[in-house]
Amino acid sequence: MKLKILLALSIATLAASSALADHAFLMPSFSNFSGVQSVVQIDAAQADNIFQFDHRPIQLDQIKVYRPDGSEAEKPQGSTSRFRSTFDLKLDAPGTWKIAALNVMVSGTAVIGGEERRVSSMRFGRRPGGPGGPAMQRPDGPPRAPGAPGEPRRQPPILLADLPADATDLKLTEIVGRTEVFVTVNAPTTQVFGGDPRGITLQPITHPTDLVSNEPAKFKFLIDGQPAAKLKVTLIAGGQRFRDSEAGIDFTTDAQGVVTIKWPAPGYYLLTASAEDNKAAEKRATVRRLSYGATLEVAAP
Amino acid sequence: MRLSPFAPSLAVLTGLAAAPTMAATVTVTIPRQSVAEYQKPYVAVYLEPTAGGPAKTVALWYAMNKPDGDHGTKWLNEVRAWWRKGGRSLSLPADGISGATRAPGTYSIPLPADALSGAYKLTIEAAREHGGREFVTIAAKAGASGSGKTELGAVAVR
Repeated sequence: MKLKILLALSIATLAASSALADHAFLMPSFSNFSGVQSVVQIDAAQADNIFQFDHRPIQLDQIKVYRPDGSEAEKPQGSTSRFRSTFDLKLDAPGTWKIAALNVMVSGTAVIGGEERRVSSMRFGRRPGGPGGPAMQRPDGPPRAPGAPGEPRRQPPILLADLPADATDLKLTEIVGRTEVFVTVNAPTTQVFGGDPRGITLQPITHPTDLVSNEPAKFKFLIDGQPAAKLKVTLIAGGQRFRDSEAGIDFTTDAQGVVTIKWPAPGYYLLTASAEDNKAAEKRATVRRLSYGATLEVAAP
Repeated sequence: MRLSPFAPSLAVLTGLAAAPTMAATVTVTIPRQSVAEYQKPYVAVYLEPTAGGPAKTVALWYAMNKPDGDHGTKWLNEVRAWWRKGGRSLSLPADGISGATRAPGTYSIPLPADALSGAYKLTIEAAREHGGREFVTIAAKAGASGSGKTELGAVAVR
């Protein structure tokens, strides 16, 4: 049973590019720009090895761009390929821009008329999920039978909105996953911090585009806009494939939600945080799972 | 008081600093590089209070006459320590600070009047296209000198 829930969750995760199983990230070509004609290129992906492209793209329609004054920019126009989405962003205003993917969804299982069904707030559309479904079929792989041999094909998840009132054994989890990155033209600014407070957000004490390896950085984390005390924060350096493990460095926020980070070396890092509570906006969801990931570029002195 | 190469006359007038009979200068050597494709480096010279605080740019050599919409500012952040310590807040071109890039050789750059008051350190930072980036920091006092290894030669305060 537990396994089934996990499986259902992971499938839903795959479909919605949450950051449960793998690390979602937005990778900019550079984090700091000078001049007034800069263009940043953003890669958006979810991967086992951070900053590599080994799993699946983040869909472009999940990504929003915020201008330095905090307003939302035009939808990014780009392309989505097997492992990543890519788009160009013309940085036509000085200050700090934010590129963010916020994923809010509900998934889990329920028993309907004696049968256990997966439930999801996401419509699966052209990607009918489930093992053996087209989403799991590698274009160059051998054909895969739907479901296990000899078993009937698994049904696609039922939409949360279509869940009948007499459904029982509801085991629903709300997921609020935020993935973001900041890029700055000329001097850094702070108007893009804030906005939608749902889930985990970061407030700069040290500005995230103003990082140098020999200077410790301080960041404040919030949950639903309130300081997130004792939040587990993990820093993962890029280049994971050149070492034996992910080798994340763990931190815990203080009572004010602040972490102080000493950088091991210059480079790209993914700063992640995760938490679980029971404050789901969806009343039928008993658990809410929160995640955060920001790509940080740490310069050499 | 805002530091600028024009500060000496003001300093004399107000008597804030020891009136220099001759303005202090820093000499900067750009070494000759034996490379096939040479571009003259971007160079920034700046003073930082030894007690900490914002840097003050004394000189900036970059492709300021480049006929593009950026006026040569596109690569300024490659002079990365200077960029972070104050370059990114400058409005360019800046009078008395901005200048064109220089060919290999030794150059004298006048320093502001109170530069040698003992309260500052002086940094010369260079970054070159297809090349490297290097900075040399010395005390801002007469006779102080230093030398780079790759992108900068001898630097000295006189």
